[in-house]
Order: sequence, then structure tokens, then C-alpha cells
Amino acid sequence: MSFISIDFALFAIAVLVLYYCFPKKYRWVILLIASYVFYGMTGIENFAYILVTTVSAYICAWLIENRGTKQKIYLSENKDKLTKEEKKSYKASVKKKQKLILTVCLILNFGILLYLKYVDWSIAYINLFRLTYFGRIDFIPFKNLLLPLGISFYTFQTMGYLIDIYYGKYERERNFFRFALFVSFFPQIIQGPISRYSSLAGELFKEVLFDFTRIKSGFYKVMWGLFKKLVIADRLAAYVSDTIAQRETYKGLYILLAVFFYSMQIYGDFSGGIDVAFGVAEMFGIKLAENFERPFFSKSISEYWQRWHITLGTWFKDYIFYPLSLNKGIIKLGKFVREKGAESLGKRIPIYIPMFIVWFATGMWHGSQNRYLVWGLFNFVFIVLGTELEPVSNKITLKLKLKETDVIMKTYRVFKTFWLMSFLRIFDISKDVPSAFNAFKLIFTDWSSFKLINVYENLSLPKEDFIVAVVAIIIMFAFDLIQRKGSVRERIFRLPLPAQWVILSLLITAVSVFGYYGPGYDAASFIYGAF
Amino acid sequence: MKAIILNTMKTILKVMLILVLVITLNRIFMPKYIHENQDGRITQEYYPQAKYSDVIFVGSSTVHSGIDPRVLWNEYGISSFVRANASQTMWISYYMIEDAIRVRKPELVCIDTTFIKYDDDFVEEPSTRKSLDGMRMSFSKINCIKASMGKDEKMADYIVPLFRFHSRWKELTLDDFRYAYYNGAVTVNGYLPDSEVSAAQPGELIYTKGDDVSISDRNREYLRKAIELCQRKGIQVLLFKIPAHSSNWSETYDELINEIANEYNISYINFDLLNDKIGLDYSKDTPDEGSHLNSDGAVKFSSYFGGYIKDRFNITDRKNDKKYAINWNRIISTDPSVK
Repeated sequence: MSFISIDFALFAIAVLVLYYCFPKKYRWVILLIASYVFYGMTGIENFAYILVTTVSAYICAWLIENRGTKQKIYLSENKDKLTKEEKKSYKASVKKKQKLILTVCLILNFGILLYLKYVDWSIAYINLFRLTYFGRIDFIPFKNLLLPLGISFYTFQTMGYLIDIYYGKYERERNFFRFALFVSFFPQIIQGPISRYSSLAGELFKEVLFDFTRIKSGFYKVMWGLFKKLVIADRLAAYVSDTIAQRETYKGLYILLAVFFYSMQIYGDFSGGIDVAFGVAEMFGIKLAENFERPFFSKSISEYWQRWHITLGTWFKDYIFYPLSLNKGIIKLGKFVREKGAESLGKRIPIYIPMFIVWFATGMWHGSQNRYLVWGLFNFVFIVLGTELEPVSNKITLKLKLKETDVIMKTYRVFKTFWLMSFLRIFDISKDVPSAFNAFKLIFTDWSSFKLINVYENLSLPKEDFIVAVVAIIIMFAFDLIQRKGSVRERIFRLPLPAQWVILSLLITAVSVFGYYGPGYDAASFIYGAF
Repeated sequence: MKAIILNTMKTILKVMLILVLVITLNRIFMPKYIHENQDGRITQEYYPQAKYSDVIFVGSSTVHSGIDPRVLWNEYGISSFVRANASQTMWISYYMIEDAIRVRKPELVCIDTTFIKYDDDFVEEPSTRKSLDGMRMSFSKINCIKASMGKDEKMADYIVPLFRFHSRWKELTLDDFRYAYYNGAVTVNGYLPDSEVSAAQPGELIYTKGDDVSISDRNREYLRKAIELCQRKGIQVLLFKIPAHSSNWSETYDELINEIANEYNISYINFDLLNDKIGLDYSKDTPDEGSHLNSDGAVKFSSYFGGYIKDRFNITDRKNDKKYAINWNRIISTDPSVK
């Protein structure tokens, strides 16, 4: 069941009514049932995967905590009998066991994810290897496995929880069914955000009173999400794919426009979907983690990644980057390099090696094609270059007698970051790495041949749709700008009632009339839903 | 308490305003069927006329072009309405009858069987739309949508036509706003006169018997349902085939329909066999080489059909009923088609 369907709207309304009819204390049960019904509708066979994750994480969290509790009891009972060394050794052995449990669970769950995502990719390379070196043409057939809905999102969320339990950040959830809801909460299962147990659990299980203002607020958020998804993202999709497919004919500015439009498309698609999830959750009185903070106004790539898909970025930072930075082996390597005289490089090793791994993993997370890996590595290279060239950049700024706070400097940095990130997305829209490089090269040729008539008539973006898309993009950016000064919805709610009605009517009209949905349009599925 | 009541009223008002907005958008974006495809107006134009509709005709385009209710009124005092859209299938005809009865019970329902020869999987979205978009919301409508929509169509698109027609935003004209809430009549109680003449091939129409001719299960099922519904409600029923100079009919259909009619003890008549008595001349009385009747043909056929009904069925003569007379005078004096 897609977010963009009447079925989902009816489903959400039905769950909402049931939710508020149920006693406050047990409302989460409705959410659990609804989440499993929702998940079941995507294919009953998918249950097996989410159940394996839920059960394995629940048991392992219990085992990890159990070892910790036993350790506490043992140490307090034998406080006087054990020497300091014995205590240390006992703690180390317990930690080792806990680590083993954690590792087994991580391998199991990430193993499933990797297998589902990478089995065909691996088979392709095995076949190529066998053909190249042994001349074997009896190819291993592809598995063509379908990814269960939201598996990347719930796997990351659940494994994050387990790692937190291992580090003793909070107590595990004892109620299996409550834990199952944390894993499967339906508004966020399609494309996130990747929530933390410490914040989501409080939201899921708190006792909520019915509040019409909250329902209204959630509705606005849903409509705004639909506006971004249906009016902008889906309208631009055909132009982007057509232009990239016909790049030898429509090169130069056509591709540049496609690159710009793809940035708008993916932002509208992903942040729009998150807004729908956010709005639906809000109607249940549940606040989800923010996943976007006006990313296109970032002044550097590092900042961009702190404002785009925030929950994935913080997940990688907390569970991969920091643990690796503090890894004894990496610290030792840095120390070794420093001792050999490369002071500067030695200092950077504990940062750049984990960063490289994070970007490699981010690439892998996005898909099982080489182009995503290359995309991830380019992000790494640009961030490193940005850091290393900062002194040079500062010198130039100084020579030009400019300050970082000057509007011109801010605009330049925002512009640069936006286009760097947009160019990197060519890997996203191309079918493979060579095609991506080819498309990039073609941007810089034949600008004089650009004619809007070709955009309208040959590249699936008729004049009227072009105008609607441009106006909608301006509105989207205007809202982002207003949002810098606080919540747009709160501002709207402070307006006189007639003004609120005009805004809501315009929003409903814009989505229902200009949205790309229904026969002849067919709303595209969410891009991030496939990751 | 006061605050709760106030808040509840505010909420109701807000929900109602959203509904008004959605209804208005629906009205604007739905095709208006004013200047072309006027059969799309037939379904909705029935409701204001329901209280005057003693006889209901259901069928397809051959019926809305071949039966002129003005003739029935003028010559026999029969007050009737034609609920027949282009390519109206037997299952839509069934729901047209159910919907008509829901509003007001007629005295006689005449079911044209021309469309009975089409397959069970016959789906033509524009025709289904024209039949259904004007139908008031009811279980009949819901069930009719279920029975008629194609595999790729969605129930929601019929309930909220905006979902289907919103892509018309590029082609909206002033008429879409002007006629958004237009409730006037474009048809003459469902009749759409066509004054064109395009002669049929000369020669007598000869049917053949075909071994491969049959009535599909679904057509049979809905024809039976329609008869049973009428009989259950105490409404007289007539099965007929409207005249057409077309060779895609077979005596076998007549036999099969007669079997069903006999089973329910009702009449079936194929008017093709009475061309001479009716006085139809397919060199003049058809706009499309015999597939349909033009306005001259409709007058001849309606005159004959009215007499047939009057002789065989118990239909109230409304000539002396003031209310009916005023209604019919208004219909007759108004130019029906805003062509």
C-alpha cells in the first residue's frame, strides 16, 4: 500500500478513529496491529524478515542486559573476595560475551540485508570472473529477490537500538510487543526516518489526548508532503529520465537542467514522503525525528550531510564513525605514522579512515550498483578536499577582502555546495558509472542548441507543466526560507481564520489539481523506498 | 462545556468547508457534456424528472436517439424518461433501473436488449463515466461502479471524479466554470435528437441464425436481475429490441431472449420485424447508415411504440394531470439541446 493512495488515506483514518476510541493506556496496541496489517498488505512473505529482526534483537538485547545484571550481582556479592585484577578480568570476560551476542545479531541482520541487496551483484561478478578466467558460460542464475518493504530502515533502527543496549545507554524494552511496535511503526517504515529508541519509545507509549489542533497540524504536514511529492517530484521525473536517456541528442543545458531538476525531484520525493510520515505520526500524537533541515542552504558538503537525511547521517556517525575513530588499531596506526614524522597525516588517520568507511557504507546502503559506491567515494573525496583546501580558500577570501559572513560569500558557498551535490547525483540517475561520467562530460558541450520547445515537446515536460514545476519549486524554497525563522505551520495558525482557510484551500487545490497522480499520471513510488 | 460545543461546531464547519471545496473542484473538473457527448447528462437529468417518469426506457445509444418522450406524451399521455447512455451495458442498465426505483417507482420499465450481444468483459471507460458520473451517491452507484470499472480503474476515481479529471487543468475553458453547477436540461428527458441523414445500404435486413450465437452469463444474470427486481417491486416489464438496420443481430438472440421472457411471463418484441408497420425508411430515417434512428425515425418509432405500450400495459394517462401537463409544456416549449 503506497502512501500516495486513497487506500492509505482510508487506512490511516480508520486507524486514527480506532486509536482515539481506545483507552489511552492501550492505544499503542492499535498502532502495533495497524503496523502489522500495513506491513502484511505489502506481501505476507515479508513478515518473516521483520519478525527475524524483531525476535533476534529482542532476545539479544535480553541476553546482553542479562549478562550485565549478572555481572553486577556477582561483583556486589564478591566485592570483598575479588582482587582488582580478578574484577577487571571478570568484567572483560562478560564484555566479551556481550560483544559476541551483539556481533552474532549484527551479522545475522546485516547479513540478511546484504544478501538481499547484493546477491545478484555478487553473482554478476562471479559469472564475469568465471567467464574471464575459466571461459565458463554456464552462468549462475540471478536470484531476483525483492527487497522487503523498508528493510534497510528497520534494520538500521533496530541494530542501533541493540548497539545502544550493548553500551548501556538505556534499559532494554521488556515488553516484546512494545518492542515490535518500535521496529514496525507504520508511518516511518517505508522510508524512515531512522528513529532512536530513546526518543521514539517515549512518543509511542505516552498517553495522548485527542487534540484537533494536532490533527489539523498533521494534515497540513501531509498535504505539504504531497505537494512536494506529487506537484514537484513526480512532474519532473519523466524529464530527468528522458534527458539522461537521450543525452547524446539533448546535451549541454538540457542535462544541466535535468541535474537541477533531479535535485528538486529527489528532495521533493524524499522530504515529501518524510513529511507525510511525520504528519500521519503527528495525528497520533507522535513526534518523529526530523530528517531534513533545509539542506539546499548548506554552505559546505559536511554541513549538507548534517541537514539531509539527518537520521541516516547520525546513525553512521554514532555507530560507525565514532567507534572506528576510537578503535585501538586505528589510533595506533595514526600514532605510528606520526612517529614516522608525518605528523599531519597521523592526526588525520583516525578521522579519514572511519570517514572513508562511512562513505563506502553509505554508498552500499543506497544500492547494489557500482555507481552508488562511486557516488559515496566522491562524497568522501569532496569532503576531504573541502577540509584540506580550507586554508587556501581562507587565503583567497582574505585577499579578496571578503568575510565569511558577507552575503556574497554565503551565496557563493550555498551555490557551490548545491551544484557539487547536484553533479554527484548524476551517478544516481545514470545506469552505470561510465554513463554518469559521459553525462557529466556532455553538460559542457553544445549549450547553444538549447531550445525550450524541445523541453516542452520532446522531453516530457509540456509548457504548462514546466511553469507549474518552476512555480512550485519557488514556493518550496520560499517555505524553506520562512522556516528558518520558525515553524511555518505555527505561523499559519496564528493568522486570522479566513487567511488560514485560503492557505489550506490553495494547498488542497494545488495537490488535488496539479498533482501527478491518477490515470495518465501514475504517482511514482518513492525513490528512497527502494533503498 | 461551552468551549467543547464551540470547538465541535468549528471542527464540523471546517470539515464542511473542505467538502464544499472538493465538491466545487469536482464540479469544475468533470466534463460538462453540454455541447458534445450530451448523453453524459442523461443520468443526472433523470432526478428532477423522476416524479414525472411513469415509464423508464433503458438501453444504449440506439435508445436515446430512437425514443422521443415528447411523442409519447403528445399522442398517448405517457410520461417517460430515457435512461440510456452510449454503450450502456446490461449491468449498467440494471443499476439504472435500481437507481430509478430508489428515487421513484415507475409503472413500466422497458429494457432494450441490443447490448446483450456484447461480451462480459466489455469495458469502455468514457461510456461508463458518462453513465455513472451523473448518478447520485447510493449503494446502487457503488455496486454499479464495482460491476462496470475496468481492471486498472479505481473505485475512488469514480466516487471523487476530481481524481480522474484533475489532469484537465490544462484544457479548462470558461464553460467549465459556467456550467459547474448547471442543472438545466440538455436532453429531452434522456432523448438526444439527431437530424442528420445518412442512408443505409438499400435492401431488406436479413438476420441469420448462428450456431455460435449465445448470451453470456453476465448479460443473462443482469437481465434476469432486472426483471426480478421489477417484478418484486410490482413494476411491469417489457423486453424489446429497438429498430436498427444492422446485420449484427441474429434470430438466435430473439429465441434466447424469448426463452427468458417466457420464463418470467413477460413480453419480448423485436421491432426490426415491424419496420413496415412502423413506417421506417432507412434511406431517410437514420443518421449513420442504419445503426441509429434520426429524429424523423425516432418520431415514427415513438409513435408506434407508444401505441404498443398503451395497448398492452396499464399506464396512467396523465394528459389531464395539471402538474404533468405543466412539466411537459415546459419541456416541449424549451429548446432541449444547447447545441
